[in-house]
Amino acid sequence: MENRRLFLFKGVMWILAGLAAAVAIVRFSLGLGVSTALSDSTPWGLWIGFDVMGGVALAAGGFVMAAVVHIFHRERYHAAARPAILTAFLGYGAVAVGLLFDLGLPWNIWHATIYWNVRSALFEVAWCVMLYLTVLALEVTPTILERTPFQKTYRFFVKLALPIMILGIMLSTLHQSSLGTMLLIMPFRVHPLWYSHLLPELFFVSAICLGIVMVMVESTVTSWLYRREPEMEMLAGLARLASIALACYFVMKSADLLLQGKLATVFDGTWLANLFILEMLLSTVIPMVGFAFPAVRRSFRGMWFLACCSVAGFVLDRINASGLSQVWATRRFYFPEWTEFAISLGIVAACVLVFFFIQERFPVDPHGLEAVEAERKARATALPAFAPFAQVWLGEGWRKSAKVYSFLFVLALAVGLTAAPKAEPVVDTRAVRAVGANILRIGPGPRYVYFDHKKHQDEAGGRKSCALCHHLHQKGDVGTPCVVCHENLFLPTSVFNHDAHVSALAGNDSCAKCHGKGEPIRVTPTKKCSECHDKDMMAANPVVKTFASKWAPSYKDAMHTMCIPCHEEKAKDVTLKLPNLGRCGACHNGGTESEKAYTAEFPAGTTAGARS
Amino acid sequence: MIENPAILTDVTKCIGCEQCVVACKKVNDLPANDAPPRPGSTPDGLSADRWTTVIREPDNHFVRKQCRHCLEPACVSVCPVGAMQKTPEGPVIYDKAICLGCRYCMMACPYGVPHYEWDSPNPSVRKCILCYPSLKSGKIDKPACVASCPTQATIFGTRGEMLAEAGRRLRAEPSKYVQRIWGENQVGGTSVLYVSDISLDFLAFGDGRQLSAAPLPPLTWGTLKAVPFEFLGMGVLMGSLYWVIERRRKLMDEKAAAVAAGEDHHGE
Amino acid sequence: MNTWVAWARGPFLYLAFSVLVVGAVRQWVLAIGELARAHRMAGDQRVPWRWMFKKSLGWIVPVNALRGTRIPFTIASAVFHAGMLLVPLFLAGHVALIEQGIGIGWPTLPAAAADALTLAALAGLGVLLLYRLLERAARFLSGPQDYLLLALCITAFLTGYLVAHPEASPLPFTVIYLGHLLSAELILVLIPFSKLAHALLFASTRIVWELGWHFVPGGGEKVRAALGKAGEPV
Repeated sequence: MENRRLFLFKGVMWILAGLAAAVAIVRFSLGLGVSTALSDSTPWGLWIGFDVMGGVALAAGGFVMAAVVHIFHRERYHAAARPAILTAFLGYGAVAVGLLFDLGLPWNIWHATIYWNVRSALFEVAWCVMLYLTVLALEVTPTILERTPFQKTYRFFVKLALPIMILGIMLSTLHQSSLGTMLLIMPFRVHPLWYSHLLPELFFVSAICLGIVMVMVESTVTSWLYRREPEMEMLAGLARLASIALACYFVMKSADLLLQGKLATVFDGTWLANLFILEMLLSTVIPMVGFAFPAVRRSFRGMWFLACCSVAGFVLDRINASGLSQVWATRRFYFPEWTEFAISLGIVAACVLVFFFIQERFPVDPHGLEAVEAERKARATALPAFAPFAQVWLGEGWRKSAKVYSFLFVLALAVGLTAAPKAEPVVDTRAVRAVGANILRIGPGPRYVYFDHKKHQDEAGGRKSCALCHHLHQKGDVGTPCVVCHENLFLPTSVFNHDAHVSALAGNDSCAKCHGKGEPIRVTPTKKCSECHDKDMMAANPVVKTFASKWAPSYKDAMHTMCIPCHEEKAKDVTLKLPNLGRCGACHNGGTESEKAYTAEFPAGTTAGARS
Repeated sequence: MIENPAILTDVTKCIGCEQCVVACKKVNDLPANDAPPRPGSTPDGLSADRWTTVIREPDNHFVRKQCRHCLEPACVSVCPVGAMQKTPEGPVIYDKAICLGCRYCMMACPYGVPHYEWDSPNPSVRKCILCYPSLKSGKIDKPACVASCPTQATIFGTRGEMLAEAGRRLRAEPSKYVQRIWGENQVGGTSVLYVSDISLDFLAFGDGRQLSAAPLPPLTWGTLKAVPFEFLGMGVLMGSLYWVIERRRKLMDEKAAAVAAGEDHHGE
Repeated sequence: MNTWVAWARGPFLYLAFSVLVVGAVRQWVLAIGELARAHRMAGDQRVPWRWMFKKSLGWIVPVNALRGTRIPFTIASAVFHAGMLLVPLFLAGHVALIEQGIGIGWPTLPAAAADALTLAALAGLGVLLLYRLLERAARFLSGPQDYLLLALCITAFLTGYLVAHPEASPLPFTVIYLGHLLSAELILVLIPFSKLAHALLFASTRIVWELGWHFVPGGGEKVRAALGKAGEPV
């Protein structure tokens, strides 16, 4: 019999993985700028907040369950230990993959092994994650080997389990707290409600809480998907444990806020304070209180809901601390692009699929494995299935799955490739920086024209002609927009050649082509240049990105090299009676005290005095 | 090259001509055309292609922004691989060959100075390096921005000299200046100093309210120092807990067995 | 209408080519996997490569089939396939579009030749449709898919011809143009997921056919067991 629920769920996971694969192509070929909404003010976004900070904390179930089962000998939770450790292994794998996406130079990730900076919290996190990933691989090995012919190796790993588990707990303690340490150096960025010198300890305790509730979520969801009897007794025990752990966290957090004198900030009504309250309610208060009721601990749905609530709250906490709360300091808002969500979800989906794959083949949960194997046997003798439209034989068992899931995967991949952002030719050159063949942005929309500065200069009369355009400079403006010259076609600065247009448009009949029929002919045209010269304009395209010039003189450069010699010359001309024309103050004559002090030597009546 | 090089910028003297920007671009071989700022970036004009900039404040105040070359730089402290380096002479420089691209330096800088090449698939962190290679080789005797300033609004010397000069200016014209040297001891002191007639706190995130005179790196080092002890401590704790619990279990089992045996005996 | 055209020329075109490329890769990977499996499980593992190659060539250049019983069908099919391959790939307008998009171009067909090929392909399609409708065996084997695909090809060629000759068109140009874009793009999308997949898999058709007869030892018994008729006489 087919498990439709599981089948659909896996299908959705494959679609998410396909979308992520498409975004991955864009991310690695075009860079972070195209695929994220990150900026210099928000250099860390969803991929750090969720994939790394959240991912490591979500995988805390591994070390928590290892401690509960193997150190404290709570045999009741034995069934949860193997899935939790497998989840932790996959979770840390996901963190590593997520990090590869986020790092600007992912091929240098191994540098952390040879270049050491022991003063960096991230260095410590990197080492711990590397070592812990190895430890987790060793912890997962017995599960894989148990039903294979390699029984000698299996027994060796079983004997090794205890020291490995203890090493894993030691490493987890370090890096779970070090993720908090990473934020300690940014008191200027992290909002006071999240910033605390106790951040490492708070991160460690909240990781333990999150580990427990995550094991609950995983256990409930798996039993729902595989239509198995939920292990209510174990879940109720975990709920009680979670309630205690959450209470510890709540007391710690409140005491910390109280001692820092920040308790009033919590209720000051700003959106960040409200976000903090929401986060605390979701992650801690609601589940802590809920789990304390025996009625809730007897209800499958109740436990599932509260555990999900708590997981969401703690993930929100990591996102808030490592990014969202910093809006307060940067005053720049950041919301992830859909591509960032696609990668985050896709990595999770891939992990879930690998989890299912291992769970359906190896004794992660022996009872579950038996059920899956029985189902597989039943399917082997089922009638052949055909694809609905293509009428292709689908095969049986996993070959059918391969065909259906690969179909969903490639469809999502193609849609993702279509929707993914392409190389955006970001060019917004102002006239001031134009030299040689260059591109200017015109108007508010994304339209560009080739602007040949040399040609303009030559036509306007060589090097001394800069003033023709640049002297029109207005205050607060760094360059003169084209329209100043090209708006009124009969200004002396205009490059528009009226005669040439008349002859090109065949004599006097042509007037109406621009000026309109039956209207009085004005100096200003009735038709925009772009209406005829549209082909000279271009929409943004990859060509726009090339620049011939390496660097250009700034507007100031142009002004100074061109204005000053002339000003100095005119200043010497006694007939003009402007002796101070050559001084800086002749132009730089703002109204503040400091500037007046600077131009104080100009008496009233000179150009400088007259202009101010 | 001199020890502890420093730049003193006098905001009252700057006319906003941006010659420093042009000189910086020339000497560091940066493209003349700045990419437009990424949406969401602080609009101070700094970018991966523009390592110094002039911020236009109201009433014709021009504030040049660049890397502060902190005495105890947070960016150097946080870099997991040491791609950001504090040179023995003082300038903070960057080595792309080592960098991972984690951008922790950008997060840790209280002034938002390091900028990223977002549009490149092979990006680096870019920021002012105080013309370190050229100064070191003796090609130039002061940074390009300082050399190009037409009004001496920005000057170069050892940090001691610059502090003395700043103090002299504050004393000479107390009514003109805010009586404070920006960078004297903020975050442990910086090599780029400012005197000004307006407050320059806006150069730091959060208006500099959260910046004290204490340097930033010790904030994490205090915790990181304890890491080996924490590690071993956790190991010892877990090991002994295991031993105690295991022993108790064994004793209880033995007791149970003894009781059971006793009952059996009794039953006979 | 113009926004629809812009959509069909932009995102949907991109989507069509993306689907074609990734779908083709999927088909090839699946085909190779399945073939390897069939070969591994076959009772007789010999593969007559030379014979297969000759036979495939014979199907691609159907000269021998001209001596067969359905000569008009063979000719119509060959003409249609020639048009289907040459016109979309070598029409000057298409090549210009491709060159604009990816920067690679190639020699083109003269306009007159393209017109002739288009009309010939349309005629071929007509004959194929008639065969499907009139011959009993063909009608019996045809599903909705077969008619749909034929209709799509006819639409694509017809609108393509009208786009090139707008003066002959009874409908406004944009309608025809949109019809051409959409039908052609739908063909691209359907290639990896329908019977059109023979465009991708023609190289392996013969080997599938060959391996198909090399049954797994005892395979027939399994089929009977699966059908619940174990033990019954075949």
